[in-house]
Amino acid sequence: MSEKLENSFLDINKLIHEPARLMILSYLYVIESADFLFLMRQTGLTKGNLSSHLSKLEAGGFIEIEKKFVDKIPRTLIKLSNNGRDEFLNYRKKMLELLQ
Amino acid sequence: MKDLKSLENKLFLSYFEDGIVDLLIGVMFIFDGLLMLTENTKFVGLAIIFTLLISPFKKKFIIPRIGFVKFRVTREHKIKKSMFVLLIAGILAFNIVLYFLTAKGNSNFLQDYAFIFLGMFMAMPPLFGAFFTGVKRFYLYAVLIFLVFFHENFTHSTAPIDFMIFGAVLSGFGLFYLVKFLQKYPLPINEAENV
Repeated sequence: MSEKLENSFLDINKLIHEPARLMILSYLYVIESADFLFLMRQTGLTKGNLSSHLSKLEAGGFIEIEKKFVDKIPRTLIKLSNNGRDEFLNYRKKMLELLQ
Repeated sequence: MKDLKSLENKLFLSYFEDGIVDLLIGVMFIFDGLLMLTENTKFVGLAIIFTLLISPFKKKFIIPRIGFVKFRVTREHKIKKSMFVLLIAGILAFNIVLYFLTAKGNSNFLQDYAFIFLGMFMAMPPLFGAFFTGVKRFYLYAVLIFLVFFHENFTHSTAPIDFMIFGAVLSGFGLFYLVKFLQKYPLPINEAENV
């Protein structure tokens, strides 16, 4: 394995390179925003699991979480940040290059 | 980006899994049939009310189960643009059909097959709906609507019954999808939104 290729593998963003988080980012990439319940239903993750992954993604600056009230009901809206969108595209490009 | 596009389509289609549109439009057709049968104009109001119920019904019963999603601007623009084009095309087609059907010196051909032309026009919304949303069962509804008018063209007396049968079929599909949806997405025990 060439050194360049090895470095490319090491360059992969590990925060994205986890199946559950990759799935969450893929869903968020194709929409504008979604609430916690929608992501939970679509990804099939448990409440605690999803919450934990979202916290990590938020800490990494990949997503933005906004809590607000709609008709007196709390709603947690989650969206991909601009940085998250760029990082997701970079990750996708890198993986395609590496595995082609 | 084909994979991501199909993911977006999957999410978009999840909003039609509940069968609410089918159910309420089906009931609307049943009321239309009753209106023709009884000539009681109260059914017009009921039919309109049922159509207007789609959005609040989804908000009250569906979003608490499936969650809220806002699609990207491009997707929402596409939907609005499609609806606008569909509306304009529908109005134009309806007027053209009416003109040909009522114009003096018109050929008997157009008058003889008036209901078939009307059926073609009425089948357009579900046809376009199927094309733009990707919901395959809407194609079936387009065919069924056309068949209702096709049948009426030759019998000239069964329109109310045909409308009610079509409405019942649509409502049946709607109920089936609604029950499946409610089983698949029960109300969350704890407020997931609070997390």
